[in-house]
Amino acid sequence: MRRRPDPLGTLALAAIAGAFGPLHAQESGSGLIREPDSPLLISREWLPVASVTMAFPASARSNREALLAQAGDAALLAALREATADQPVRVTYDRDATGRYFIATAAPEVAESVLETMRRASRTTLPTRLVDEAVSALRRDLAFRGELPRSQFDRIMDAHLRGAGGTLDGGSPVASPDSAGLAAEITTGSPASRWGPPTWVVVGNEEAFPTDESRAIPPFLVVGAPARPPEPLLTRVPSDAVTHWTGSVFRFPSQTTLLEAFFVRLLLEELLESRRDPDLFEFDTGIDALGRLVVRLSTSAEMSGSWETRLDEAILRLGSEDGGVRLDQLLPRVLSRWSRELAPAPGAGRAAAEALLRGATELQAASFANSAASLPSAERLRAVARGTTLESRVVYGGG
Amino acid sequence: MPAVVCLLCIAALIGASPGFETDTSSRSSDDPLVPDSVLTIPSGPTLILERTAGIPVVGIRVSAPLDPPWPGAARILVEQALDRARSRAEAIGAELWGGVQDGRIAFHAIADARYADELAWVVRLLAAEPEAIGAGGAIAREHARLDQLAETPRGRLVLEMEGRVLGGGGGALPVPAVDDVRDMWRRSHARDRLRILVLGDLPLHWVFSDLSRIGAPPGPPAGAPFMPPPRTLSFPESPLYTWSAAAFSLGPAHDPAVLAAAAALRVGLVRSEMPNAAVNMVEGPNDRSGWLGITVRAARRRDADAAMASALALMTEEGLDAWWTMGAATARSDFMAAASTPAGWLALSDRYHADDGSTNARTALERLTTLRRQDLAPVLEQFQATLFRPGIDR
Repeated sequence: MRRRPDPLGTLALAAIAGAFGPLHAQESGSGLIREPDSPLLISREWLPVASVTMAFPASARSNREALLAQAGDAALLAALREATADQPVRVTYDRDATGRYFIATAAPEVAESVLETMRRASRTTLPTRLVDEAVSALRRDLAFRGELPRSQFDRIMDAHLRGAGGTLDGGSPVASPDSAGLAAEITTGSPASRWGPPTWVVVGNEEAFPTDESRAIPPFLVVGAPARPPEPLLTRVPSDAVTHWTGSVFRFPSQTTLLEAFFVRLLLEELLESRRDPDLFEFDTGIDALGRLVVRLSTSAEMSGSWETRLDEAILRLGSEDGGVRLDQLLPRVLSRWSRELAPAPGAGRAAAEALLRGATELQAASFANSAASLPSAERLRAVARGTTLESRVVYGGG
Repeated sequence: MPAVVCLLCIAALIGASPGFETDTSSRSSDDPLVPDSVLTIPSGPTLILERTAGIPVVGIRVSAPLDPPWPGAARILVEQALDRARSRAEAIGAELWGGVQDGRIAFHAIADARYADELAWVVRLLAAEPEAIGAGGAIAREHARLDQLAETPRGRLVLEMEGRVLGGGGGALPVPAVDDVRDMWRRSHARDRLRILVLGDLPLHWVFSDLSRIGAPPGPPAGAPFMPPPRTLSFPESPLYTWSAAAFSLGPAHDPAVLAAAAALRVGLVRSEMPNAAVNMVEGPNDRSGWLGITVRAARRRDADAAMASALALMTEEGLDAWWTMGAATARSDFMAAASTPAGWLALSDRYHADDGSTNARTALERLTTLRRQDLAPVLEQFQATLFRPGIDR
């Protein structure tokens, strides 16, 4: 096996590490703790391009916070693209229930300057021109989509997930945001001053982050949600939408690791996909910031109940010994999906950033980004599925 | 693995395999954008290998020349191949793709490295001879595609350009028959014309034993391939709008200046004000004989003419002046995005492979990074020289 060190990549990553100082090891029970605003460096022996990920936690406090994040992120993305236009770099953006991710894919030799550019952008007030454009685009989007049943359901689920205590006021139509107010709020300070120091991950091609393999890395557990007033098991929100929307929240058993939770989610997706029929319009799965499995389905009105039952059965089937054959059949597909997700540098960087946002240590996050090499066993996944229970369900639509 | 050891392995393998001759060539590189080894096997495929460590997947791409240059036949060939391989690919969660890209018929399959053997099987199915059974559906879909394209001015431009650039004359190429597809497979998939790219931590003997004998027997059948004459399209006059179209050849798409100029033109068209007219860009296959088209739709002829004149004015150095930096940035950004994924790495390595070793993905990136405004001048000259104004509204 080859590979001779790439001098440019080595220099770049050494400079990155130098620029931010050593990753100060704050000993804890489970590994290194990252200094605020310093990058987690993950090395890959074979890597045609490097990636730099800047992540902020998902804004989950209110609809207005979500709008601020949406417009602010669009402006920040435009600023990053303008700032890197003369370099071999691509900047993309994604978000999920845990975080908002700005991912730069770059030639290894410019990774250092890209990281510096992104840090500068996160600490600088965004240009008014870009903020105005972003707010204006957001208004257009809301005018077009704001009152669609799908958007209303998403707001209801978001409110439900952040513990609205059953009031579910998030379903009301969002008033067109006050442009001047939003823009003014976004331009009051830098993104970092509003959302806190970003989480950074650099995936490079050298031994920039020495993983101590001799040391056991405690598994990162996905469960740890703070105690909350219990939600009602079933909440029905009537509306005149013809399509039925169902949001189901499941809780994993204690001692479930993040990786096991991801795998059960992917297995469930594969199982639902294999049983798909024309009455299931779309479905989406995710693991929210509190480590719960969230499944959203849209179905025809007649088949809504049937699909809720099928969803519950699918999880039971994954966990049952009789259903073991089914899980074993699905597992290769999930393994390949996961490997393909983590093989590119941006995918590995994004996975590590997500783990960090969830509270993992550096070692745990790096291990998660490299987890395709050490996957959970079918037995263990069956046990996790067996212990996964329905926490609450929201049904929207159907008059 | 050092190149010397590679060569020893190859020599050992060749000695053990009566089908291989000893005339092989090999290069070795430490740059991830330059394949480790390129092995040319007499009467066998060209193997382009990148041995990777630390990434959990294996990717295999097979590409063959588009011979004859009949995209419809290639589409049917690809569709049948994907149908053959799909269920096996799904069983191991492999990403499966096939299409015409960079002037070649290409497939890739990518899966977790644990399933390398199954993946090789998928690739063998992709490269197998098309069967008559099952071809009817693919042919019917190609008929439907052509009929659908012929119904709109934009679709008519696609058909005209496909016939003109690839078939040599105006008009649409007809739908091929089963025998035409099989003839294409014998010519294009002749073993000595195939390129097989492998990305993964795999031993060389695995690649030889599993992949070196796929495809049709070496050497294409004698004689020129059958190419039907394009048929003239009839098109009813639009009662509501005036349409206007222009198209031009891209030239060699592996030339980064071409990619940047095309991207700049795209940006310029989107950002330019064209009052009272809808201007769209139509892109042909991104290959060595690719093309770009512009369609204009307006209620009045003079608005259509004015908008087309503005669009064509972009195809000059002065016209692209405001957009070329953004075009170059877009081309670089697209390159980086592609290079970061196994599928993209395989496609770039295939696109920039030259038998004499003069070009590769690294040289392309270097060219993209150092591109200057004046580098676009010859490309624009090529655009102007191949400018064609097909009638698509009557």
